[in-house]
Amino acid sequence: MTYVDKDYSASNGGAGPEGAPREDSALRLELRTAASTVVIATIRTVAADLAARADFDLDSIDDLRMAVDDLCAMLVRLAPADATLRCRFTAHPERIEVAADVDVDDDTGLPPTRSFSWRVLECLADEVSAEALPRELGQRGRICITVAKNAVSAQQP
Amino acid sequence: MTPSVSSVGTEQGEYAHLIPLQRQYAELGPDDPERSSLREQLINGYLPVAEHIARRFAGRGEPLDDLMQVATVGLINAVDRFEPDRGSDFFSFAVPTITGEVRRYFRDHGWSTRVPRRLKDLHVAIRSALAELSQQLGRAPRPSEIAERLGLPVSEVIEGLQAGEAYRSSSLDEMLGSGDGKATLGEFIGGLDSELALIDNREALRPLLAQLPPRERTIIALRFFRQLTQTQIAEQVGISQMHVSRVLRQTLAYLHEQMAGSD
Amino acid sequence: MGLTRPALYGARVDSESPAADFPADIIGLQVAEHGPDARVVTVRGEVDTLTAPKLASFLHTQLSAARVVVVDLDGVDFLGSAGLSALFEANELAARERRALWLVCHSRIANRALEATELRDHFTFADTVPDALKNSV
Repeated sequence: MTYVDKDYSASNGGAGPEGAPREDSALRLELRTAASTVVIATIRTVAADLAARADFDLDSIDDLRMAVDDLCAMLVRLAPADATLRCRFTAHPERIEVAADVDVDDDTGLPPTRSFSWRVLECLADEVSAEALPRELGQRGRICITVAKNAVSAQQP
Repeated sequence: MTPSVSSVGTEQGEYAHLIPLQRQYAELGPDDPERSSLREQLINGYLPVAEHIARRFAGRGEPLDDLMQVATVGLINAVDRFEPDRGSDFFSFAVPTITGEVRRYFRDHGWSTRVPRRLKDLHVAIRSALAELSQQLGRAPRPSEIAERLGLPVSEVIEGLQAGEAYRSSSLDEMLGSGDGKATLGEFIGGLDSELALIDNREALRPLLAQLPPRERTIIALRFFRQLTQTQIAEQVGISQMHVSRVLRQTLAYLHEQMAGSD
Repeated sequence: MGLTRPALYGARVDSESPAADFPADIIGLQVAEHGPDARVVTVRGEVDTLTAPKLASFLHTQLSAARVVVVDLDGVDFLGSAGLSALFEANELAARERRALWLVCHSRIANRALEATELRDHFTFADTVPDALKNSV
């Protein structure tokens, strides 16, 4: 697993679907691993650790841990055998965004939004979206799932 | 994957004589003089069940004697709580109760040997702060809020959270403790002697317990014979949870030392 | 546990593997039979995409064999979408086949998973395993 904690957005794809302007106070972290189910536990632990250090409430920490687990699992299911999974975390004050993507074969579509996993993801995160990243010359396509989670979870009724 | 299949009480006659006793025991009033002798017969009669379960967990790093004691405590709970007129039979009730007791022991003990003392205390403190703050705030607290409540640096709280089970509001031991909050402190203590009668090395343990100061004796009784959590004990006895933890540790160390010396 | 009380039958306790309930494993699954009609499944550890299929097939087996299945989640350290799905499907199966599926859950992490995903109301909870067994009589 490779950790890249420098600014990553210049090389690939941009900061997220909204292309939000970068804040100086944001902390960025990128993980690159083989797209395999065995690494998911590590990635979700990193996510939870980041959320704890960003002073998220304990429910939100758990939610982010589950959301990252879920989105990584979805991407790993889409990925061919030798693909790379990339997770980029951006910790703003009171909010963490996670953009994760994998290489996919040309005919691979976005994860179905009517699936159980997607529904779970929508419950856990404050914002969720999926997109096919533009294919660069000589490269495979990539599918990216982005979630955002706020530091404080609204209390369940 | 070798399934370990084993059976308890497949010999029908083996426990058949206990069934009428069970019913009789359940029907006796709490003050009936016959109660304690019936209880003892039942516990002794079913002891092979506890032993069988203890043996299943043997060879996993805990002495069989300890497992037997723990399983026996589970059996006592089962005998006391079983209600024959609910229609199920004793085994359906006793086996999960006893097995749960042994599993809990493994978990608590495993936790206590793997994790340094400081982190364990921290974990206990965090768990209680978490419960209080959740109630006050109407949401789960942030690490900084827990840190403020405990007067600790946030980094330590995060470390404590990561140390493991702190994310759980209520672990198994708390669950069991919530079983019967109705009994009074006096009843707990009163039950102690008869319960101790079943522990293998009772001859050595009983005088030691009798010598303990009343508060220590009470805390040991609440923890090991009623399976109350440290938080619940703290509430009952009126001291802090950290204090309960310290008293338990010191008292157990003392008892172990004395027991070792008396061998 | 019907009206005719069976003679004392054996209470069997099977482990999925001898070490299945110990921390080194990612997931621990254990089942105890309580008479011909009831089984208690104890789940420990992390129920994620790696381990959920094991849980799903385990629950399926128990539900096809017993009328009452109690799933004890107290030892669960992580419950992800795959694990929730396994539980949810087991619950649906139980409803279709007229079986009783009880959850016993005091794990904060598992409770949060069930609450945050709004799945909690789909399940029937008991406070303790013995309670679930008693209530199923």
